[in-house]
Amino acid sequence: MPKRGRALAGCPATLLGLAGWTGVVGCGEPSSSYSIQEVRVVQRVEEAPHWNATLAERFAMRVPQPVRKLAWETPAGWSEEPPTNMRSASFRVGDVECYLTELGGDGGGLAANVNRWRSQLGLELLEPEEIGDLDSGQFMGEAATLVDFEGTYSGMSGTDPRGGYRLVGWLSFADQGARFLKMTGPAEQVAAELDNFHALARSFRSGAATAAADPHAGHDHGPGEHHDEPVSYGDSPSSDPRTGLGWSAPSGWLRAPERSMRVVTFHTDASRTAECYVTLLGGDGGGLLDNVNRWRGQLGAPPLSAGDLRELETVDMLGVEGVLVEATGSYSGMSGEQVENAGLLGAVATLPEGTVFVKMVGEREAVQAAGPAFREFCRSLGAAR
Amino acid sequence: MKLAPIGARLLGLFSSLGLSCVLLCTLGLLTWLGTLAQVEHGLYEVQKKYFESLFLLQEVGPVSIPLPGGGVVMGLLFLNLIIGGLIRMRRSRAVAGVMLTHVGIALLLVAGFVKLRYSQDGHVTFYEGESANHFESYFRWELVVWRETDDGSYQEFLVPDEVLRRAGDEPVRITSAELPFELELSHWMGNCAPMPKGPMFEVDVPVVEGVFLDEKPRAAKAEQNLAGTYARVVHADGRREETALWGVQAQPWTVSAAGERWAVDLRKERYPMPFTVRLEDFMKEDHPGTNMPSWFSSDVTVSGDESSRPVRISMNQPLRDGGLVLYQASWGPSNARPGERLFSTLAVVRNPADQWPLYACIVIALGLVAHFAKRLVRYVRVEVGRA
Repeated sequence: MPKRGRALAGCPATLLGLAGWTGVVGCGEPSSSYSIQEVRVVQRVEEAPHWNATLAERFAMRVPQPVRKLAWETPAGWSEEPPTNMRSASFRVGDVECYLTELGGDGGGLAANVNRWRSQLGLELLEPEEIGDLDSGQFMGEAATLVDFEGTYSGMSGTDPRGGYRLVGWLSFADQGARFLKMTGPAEQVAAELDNFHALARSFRSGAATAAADPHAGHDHGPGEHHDEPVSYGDSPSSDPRTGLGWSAPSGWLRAPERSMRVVTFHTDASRTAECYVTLLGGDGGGLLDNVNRWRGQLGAPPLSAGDLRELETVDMLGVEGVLVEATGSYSGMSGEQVENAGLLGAVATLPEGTVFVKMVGEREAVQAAGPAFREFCRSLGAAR
Repeated sequence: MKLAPIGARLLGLFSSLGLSCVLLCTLGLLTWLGTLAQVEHGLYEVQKKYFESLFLLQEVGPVSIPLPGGGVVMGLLFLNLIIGGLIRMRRSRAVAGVMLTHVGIALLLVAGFVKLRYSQDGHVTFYEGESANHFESYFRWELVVWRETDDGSYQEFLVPDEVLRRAGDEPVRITSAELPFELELSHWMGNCAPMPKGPMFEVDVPVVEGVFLDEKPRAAKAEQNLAGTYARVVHADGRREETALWGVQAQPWTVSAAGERWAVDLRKERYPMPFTVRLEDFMKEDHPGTNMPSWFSSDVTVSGDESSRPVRISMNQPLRDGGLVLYQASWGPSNARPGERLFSTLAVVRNPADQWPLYACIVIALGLVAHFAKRLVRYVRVEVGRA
């Protein structure tokens, strides 16, 4: 064999013959145990970590809790009304309305809520020490504050003031969340129902306010925002000057008060069984797949793979193909609301300027019924006119 | 001394020009394949697979072809250079330049090896007013078990990236004589996100407090991967506690054992710095009418044991101190609005062979200049003789 031929023929053997190189470059033998080799003592200059954080706190996510049933005894003569996203239980007797609201977190705190109720009656706001002097007691096993105010009631909207109204309510704040039991109506009728009101309050069992599921930040509701009041349905401008987004709201949809992080919020009907809102985030908003799976996770639906994503229905919106997401299940929303038989319809449009999210969620039947209107709404989105 | 035939053959093989050609062609092939692979897998994964490996499987359609990795090829090239270009080459003044060039190339390969084995790359990212006495890897993870000591410092027990990656369905058992418990790690995921476990589907990983780790495909940019694993503490009395750990968890997992609080955390590998850097001021100027920065820099205070000094680190003015080089690398958030608080990112490199490529290039240049100058002189002499 010629000299060069011999040399080249030896190349594979050389590659194998240099197995010793393996040990130099690395690639250790896998093992099922490891004895810690490196121990350091360090001084930390960054903020000290928190001890005893829960898994939800560690992952900065809200973990859905099993939906717990509320139980109560409806006073004689009172009629029950269907619960809504914001009302765990709702009652009516004559012109008197009474309902229970459960919120995650502190719901804005005692002072903000007491004064919010007073402002609805046109009363002066109380100082902290005056709030501390309010009656207290127990509501659903927690320390609670009892309020009893009279004034001209105008609700959240400030319209249609009704004089001679009385508001009686329990407010409790616990680690599991905040609870509000509120009765409003003409003063004489409320006075007549006071015993029933307190009997109802005593009869409530279980139904701890549940934490909500939202593994990603960016949609938190601001402090002091509450949804236990009729929303203010005013004229619905078809654009948002802050974002430059415009739209055409489907017939019958009602615009809800402004909420932080949202461009616009609608209820699909007056019963507020489903709401639809638009959010705009910079960049890809955390990624299409992650957001789709976050939404599905809020209803307990299994996550999709990237391949599944390509199979999803699309809708023309904002000059691109928005991806439509559907899910049904038990909904754990971002502000503590729980809907057991819920539906979700969402659309995500990724634009060079950012990502637009349109999300409709609520009772399953309401969401399904509003599906065509939702798609129409998505198609109507565009630059502000 | 007369060599045995096998020894002679081996020496001939390692010093042959044929082997050089094969190795250089293989290196070219790896570079080409790596460049193509980078489209889908990103720089970090490609470097690992093609250039820092011993062998690899290249998928061509349904077929997997075994190829030598960059580690083998460059190792052989080094041997080939040393044996063929320095030991066996006929030593004379005529080939002095060539030999010098070979020394330079060998130095370049050694510099690459030293960087691979002994360098540390990472970053310090902080807002104004914040300090750092360590830098973090972009890619490598570590599990740390720590406790607060009586003097306010922290004792950290570290489990390196290579060990974490072994944790599959079968757990890896982590022990230390100084720990009052054993740790078991399982289901390592290079990229994942925690998801609430809903009632309408099942998962094949543990569910802890209603949450499971959802494995995701590796990101093309490896630094965007968020690793996760399941951890179980086995106490001396046999009691067990289990949780999931995620690479960007806000707080560590807390465990009580032997009357002490212990924390378990998964984080990017940290490397201590021999000084503390505090970001005093971050400055940036944009091109007019755009969000594109034309210039940005960080004013920092560098504090050692006894003294501190102000330093400005800008794009072309790194800080070199204590064997480290700190470069102004980036800033963020990239979508920050005017007036919003910004953070600064300093790339940090500890590389004992930092300047070796420069020295190697100088040596190579000198060798080539010497060689070609000699050839030129000889050519001129011949031509003058003919004339």
